[in-house]
Amino acid sequence: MENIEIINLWKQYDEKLEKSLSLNQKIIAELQQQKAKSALRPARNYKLFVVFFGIVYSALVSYFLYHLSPIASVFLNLSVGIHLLIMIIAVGMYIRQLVLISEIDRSENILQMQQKMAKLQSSTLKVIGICFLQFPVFATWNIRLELIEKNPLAFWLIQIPVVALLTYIGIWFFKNINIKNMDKRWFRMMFYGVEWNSIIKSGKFLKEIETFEKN
Amino acid sequence: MQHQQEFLNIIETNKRLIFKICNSYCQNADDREDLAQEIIFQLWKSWGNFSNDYKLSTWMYRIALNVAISFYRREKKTTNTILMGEHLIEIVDEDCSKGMPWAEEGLEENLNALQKFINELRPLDKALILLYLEEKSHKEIAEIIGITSTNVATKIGRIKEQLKQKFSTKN
Repeated sequence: MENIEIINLWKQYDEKLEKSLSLNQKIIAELQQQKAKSALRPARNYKLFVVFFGIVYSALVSYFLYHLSPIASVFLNLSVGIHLLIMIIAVGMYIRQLVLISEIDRSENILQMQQKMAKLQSSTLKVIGICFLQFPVFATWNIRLELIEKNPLAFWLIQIPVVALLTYIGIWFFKNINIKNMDKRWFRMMFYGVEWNSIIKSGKFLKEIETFEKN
Repeated sequence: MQHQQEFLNIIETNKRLIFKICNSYCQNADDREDLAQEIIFQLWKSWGNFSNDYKLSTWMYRIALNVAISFYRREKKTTNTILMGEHLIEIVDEDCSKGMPWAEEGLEENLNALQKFINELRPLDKALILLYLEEKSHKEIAEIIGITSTNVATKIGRIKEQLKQKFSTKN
């Protein structure tokens, strides 16, 4: 079939629709009255909830840190401080995602808009990566100066290697939890399940957009 | 009120465009209905920001295709369809093709084959072929999709080749 025949076929389809298609004006009028009916609403509501919970949690941790810091050890203070800082960064990232959602403009060109949407979906991974940075905190909060003085061998041979290992694991995950690694086995095992499907799909779509742009 | 009426007229004039996009991105009638509602809602929401710097058709295609591609990629397709029991899209007369040119033998079959071919394409290629079939210029297609005109020409050439092969194996 030649190009012109294909175009003519499509024109005939159009003629057919012109004769047979009608739109229910009542429903269009109802749609015009609707305030919000966005597919992004569940994502926005979920992020709003996380931001609210994150702010309340960070406020509580700050309160305890402020009141306990004079009596707690320097290691506990430092550990809680790092944990708090990472929580604040994660909340900040969620707030940024909320701003991005509000800035979504569907009249942008298709690649630009779809790329933004897919990146927005996969940005949850960045928050998870940031959270891994607090891994060493689990091995530092209970360190006491007395322990170092009384039992230096245990401190240098057990505590420090554990902290170093957790730091390494935390940094490794921070650097590698990235949608670009979605085809790797460890990534697929870590993000296996229905709740991660949309993120994996958005990663695949980002690749598809990249290929589409190149070829 | 005049604003609303103006929008209604534009939707009425472009209803075939909306239907063709919905039909290409959704196989299921309920999904088609939901997608059509979502496209019209998003068009209405953006209508206040429509600037005459753009061609109306470019603006409409961008929104409709963006909504359709996002809908196609979504896990859970159903949105809160309003007015249960009523349909936004209605095919008035299924038999209206009688005596019309497309009722000729083979045309309906070719049309189905073309539709099947479009349905099998990836979402971005679907957008491209739909715009080509609507006889949009390469420049306008480039503006809607966000690639260069040269890239549009190359991609359309490739898809047309696939389409020709599909029809030649069919016949």
